[in-house]
Amino acid sequence: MSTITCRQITKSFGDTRVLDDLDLDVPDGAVVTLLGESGSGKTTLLRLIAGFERPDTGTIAIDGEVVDAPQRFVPPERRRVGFVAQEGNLFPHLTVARNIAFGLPRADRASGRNSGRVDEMLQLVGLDGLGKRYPHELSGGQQQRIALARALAPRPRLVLLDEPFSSLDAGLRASLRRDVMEILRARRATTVFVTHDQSEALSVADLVGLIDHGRIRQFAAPDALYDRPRDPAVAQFLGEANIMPGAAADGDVDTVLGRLHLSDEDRAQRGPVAVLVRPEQLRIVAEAATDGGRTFVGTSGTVAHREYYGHDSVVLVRLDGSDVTMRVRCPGAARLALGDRVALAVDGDVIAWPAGEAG
Amino acid sequence: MARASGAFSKRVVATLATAVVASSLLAACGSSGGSNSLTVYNGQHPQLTQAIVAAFEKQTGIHVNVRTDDGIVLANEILQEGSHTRADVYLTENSPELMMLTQRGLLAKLPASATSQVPAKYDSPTSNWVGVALRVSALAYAPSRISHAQLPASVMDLAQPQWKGKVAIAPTDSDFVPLVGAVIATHGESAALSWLRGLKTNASLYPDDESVVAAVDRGQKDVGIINQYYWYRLQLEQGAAKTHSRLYTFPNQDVGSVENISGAAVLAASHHRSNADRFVAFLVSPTAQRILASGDDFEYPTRPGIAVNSAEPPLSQLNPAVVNVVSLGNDLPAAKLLQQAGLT
Amino acid sequence: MTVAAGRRRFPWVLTASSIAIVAALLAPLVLVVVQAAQSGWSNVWEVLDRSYVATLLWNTVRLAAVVTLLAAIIGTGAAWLTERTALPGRRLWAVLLIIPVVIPDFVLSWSWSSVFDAVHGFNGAVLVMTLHLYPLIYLPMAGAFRSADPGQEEAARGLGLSLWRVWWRISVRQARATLLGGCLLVCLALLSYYGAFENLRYQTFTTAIFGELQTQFSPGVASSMSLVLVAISLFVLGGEAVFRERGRVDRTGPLAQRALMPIPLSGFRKALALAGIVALVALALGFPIGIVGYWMVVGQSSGLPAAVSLGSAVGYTVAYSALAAALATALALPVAMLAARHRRRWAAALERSTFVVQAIPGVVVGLALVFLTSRYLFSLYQSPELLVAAYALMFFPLALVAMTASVLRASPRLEEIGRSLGKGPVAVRLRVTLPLLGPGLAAAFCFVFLSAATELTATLLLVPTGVQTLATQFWAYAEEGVSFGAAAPYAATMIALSAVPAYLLSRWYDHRFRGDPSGRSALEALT
Repeated sequence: MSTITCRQITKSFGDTRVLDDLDLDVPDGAVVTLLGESGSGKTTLLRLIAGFERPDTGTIAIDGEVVDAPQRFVPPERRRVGFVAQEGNLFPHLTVARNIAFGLPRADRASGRNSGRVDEMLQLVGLDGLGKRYPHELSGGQQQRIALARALAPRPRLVLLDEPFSSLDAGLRASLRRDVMEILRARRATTVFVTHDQSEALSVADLVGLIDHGRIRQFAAPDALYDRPRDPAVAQFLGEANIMPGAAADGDVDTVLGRLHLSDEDRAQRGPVAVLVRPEQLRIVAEAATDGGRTFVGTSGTVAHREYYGHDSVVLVRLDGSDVTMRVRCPGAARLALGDRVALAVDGDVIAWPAGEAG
Repeated sequence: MARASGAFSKRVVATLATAVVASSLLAACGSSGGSNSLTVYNGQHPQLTQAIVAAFEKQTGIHVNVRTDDGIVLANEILQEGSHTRADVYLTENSPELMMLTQRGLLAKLPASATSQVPAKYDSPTSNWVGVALRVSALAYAPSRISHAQLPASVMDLAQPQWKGKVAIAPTDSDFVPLVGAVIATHGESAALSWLRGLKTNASLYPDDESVVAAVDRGQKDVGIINQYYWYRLQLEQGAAKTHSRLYTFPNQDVGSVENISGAAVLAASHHRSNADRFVAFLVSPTAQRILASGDDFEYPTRPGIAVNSAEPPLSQLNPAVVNVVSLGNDLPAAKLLQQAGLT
Repeated sequence: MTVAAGRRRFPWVLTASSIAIVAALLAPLVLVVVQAAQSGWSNVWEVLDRSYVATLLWNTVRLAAVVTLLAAIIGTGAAWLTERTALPGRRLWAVLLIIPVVIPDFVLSWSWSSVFDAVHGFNGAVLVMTLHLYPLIYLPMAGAFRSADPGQEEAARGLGLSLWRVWWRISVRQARATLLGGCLLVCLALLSYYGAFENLRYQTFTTAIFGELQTQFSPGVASSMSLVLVAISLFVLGGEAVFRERGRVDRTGPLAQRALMPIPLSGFRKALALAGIVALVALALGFPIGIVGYWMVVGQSSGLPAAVSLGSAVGYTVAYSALAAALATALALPVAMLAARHRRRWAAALERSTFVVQAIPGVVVGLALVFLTSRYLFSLYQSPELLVAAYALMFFPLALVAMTASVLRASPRLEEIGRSLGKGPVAVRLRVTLPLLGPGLAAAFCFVFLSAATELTATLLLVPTGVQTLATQFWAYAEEGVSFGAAAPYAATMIALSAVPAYLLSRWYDHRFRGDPSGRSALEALT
């Protein structure tokens, strides 16, 4: 359907700079999530794209048409952008059907042609027959479905979702997310989805933009973002990370966990580096031993803490001779007691950044 | 969003403008002006004035706007309004307010057609107002509590210790102030002040004369200082059989039963002078004086030869004290003394 | 296509108009001080340094103390019975119990004083004012009981406390701040009434101020007394604001989701409770309505003609009140919008400062406006515009409270969504904002209209020459002290104008805003 191009966007509220010289390119038909903590500027960016606010500087283009620039502003009603907000924001004084029909042309409303479109939309979001209800008679999940139906009814060029599921409880949230994404993908709608939940961001997107302090820190496919974070801070934001200093040489790196293998991209590193070891790369073994293959066995230590999650558990191991602790993800319930002596093995290659790089 | 609310405020401003326009239309539904009209500031009883106004309008075709309030309140308004005042005629229950406005130069001279109709003693010495009605201050008493023989010979006696707890007065009623003025004129200021201090000790205070006469009639107090017509109205309202109080006039022209002149004047700032003069002359004409005397108002007409309501004795029989309107003064000393005595 | 939109977001228009409105609202305070200052501070001191002022102060304090205590007991007890027990017919009682406070004070007191001489003086004032004002306690306390956590009462009963002790130690204690806030509202009302105390022959500051106007040729005296009255009222209002804040804190946390189970009453207790409520409604509501009806039937007691017809009084009253209601609603809208949409501390402070108006009694508003116009704006003196403006000013807080919930509902987020659905600003305002604001604007209009239609004190001072409103014409008769039959139709009309819409409005609110505190508080403010 459509592309979005943001160039050098800056936006301040009072003395607070919310967006800082930000660039973003959303390709046609992609589902993009913007991931960031609250206050990172992600919602503001979405509101700028929708035309609810204006940037202080910079330009925004949709499908190559400039919609916001210092001398040009296309108001929201001319942008053909569907917007779904966190609370749904259904019009409380209108029925579900009239909410959905709100954005349809007047001629359609008069001729009754819209009722076909409304029914189609209700069917699409799986709520046929609820057209006569009022918003307060719907559950939170139903309200969000109607908000989506309302946004899609006028056939927008793109769909913007501002934390649409965050006010729902966990179970409902996952299933609704699945349904909504299915609908959006089936229509090949260009979608920008803002969230602060990293698993949500990774699971639904073609591309994830990690936004922090008003800038895009990294913009990549979810797996690329997880596997090759640009810096330690990105690594820590996306999932759990053990980050430790190391000395790199000849494709290997020496760390408190022993000598580890650098990934292919990092083989050229030399000297002091910061090393990322994901908890799922660590494995608890009975004793310190060296085996062949690609597993390196590092230092031994004691179990300092355990968290059980059902499908797996996380064990904190304090390494001998230091106060460094490592997070280790173990499948199932780790049959360990506090104070047990263990040794750690590292699976696979690790990545590293030159020491002192921003993070 | 900023622009959104900004545009909305524009609508708010437009609404405000509409409201302002609408309220200016109110001018039309306020008082009606016009050249053939007249505005009367009325301190007299509204029903009496209304009856006289109706007769005047019928006879002359002049429309009369009436603003009714307490006589002194209206005098205060005229003082505040000064030369802007919309009042053409001021009609009040007691002469001191008229004297005050005369002294401030706010009243016009009346034509002889008005002043010549009543005896000169009921007119302003400077022809600035004319007496319309007479009332006499008196004492209502409860026979169940006190016999006629025990009633005081003078209103001044009520300040004596034996009257403690037995007296009802309404010091904030406009009719009480002229009585104080009469006491000052008769007995001097210091005697008047100690009289008021005695009353402060002895009397229970009521907001108006109606309340005083009602309290005495219920037998709550032995005696109450009122103007005579309040008692007659109560009797009319309740019926003679159900009226338990009696009316007592102080003998020997005691100041307690002093004759008060209710009068009318034309404002110097009036824009309807001839209409105003006609109205004031009408007030003392036989027509209006008969309405006054025959109705249920129980005031005495100033015009000689008009029969009064048969329920009350003729004025001559009461033989009231007469205090010259000039020596009665303008209420200011009396108001000052009331404050000094702690009664207001 | 291209729109030149400013990039600034500060709400200049709303802010400027709100500041102007607030300044206008607070003008009477300034004017009273100016007038007193013009008469000279030594004169002011002379006026205030009198034993008479001490008497008035004592009258005010003792009346406020006793009425507040009785109203607190009656209001709290009635609220608990209707909200927390299985009292038969409690929804109906809940509405009927509110009505006495909306019947004008000067009509209610007149109905008593017209048949019982004994109601005159202190005891009478206590009786009539308690029966008039207890709803100011009843309403907030009913709200507090409704939103209380039932678990605590259950826990207390589980610990073996009797019903009576649960009521006192749990229900009432929890709502202490609400109760004290209500008590101060009662005090505020007592300070501002004039007609009632004139009828009940009890001297307070307001009757004394009118008394000064009737005996003194110096408006400075009245304004000096007004200074004291306003100072006391501001003090009381300040206390009320403190307790309102605390009351809010008391009720933080999620409202109880569980429906409150009404406490069952045994046969004897049920009969006792029902008898109490019936007696209260009969005395506070049935009696005055009955008396007015009685005088209507007994008829014309005085043969003197009426100064104006009932129809003309109704006409003027409706015209002035409707314009005042429209004006107050229009003025309250920008202030409410600013506070709701620009949540900054100064915007909230601006909004809250308008409530200071509640501490300016009608007599003070009237005197201040008379002073202003007779000295500086004579074209407005005694004009209908001035009276309308005075009503709008006095009842502004009512309009503001009534529309707050709606203004919050008509969120700018909804306007944005409407825009993104392809509708222009005008269409969005017509189809989204206006329908959402509608109920609030209508409520604001109704509340101000009803209050203005039964206003007496300021009207007496400001009414245009040649005009009588329902209140002033009624008062002209009531003051005569004898013309009961002539006054009765005006009393009946005012009761119909106040009680019937209040009954309908509260039923409507009860139905529509169950558990929405903003809806109820609007009724609370309708005194």
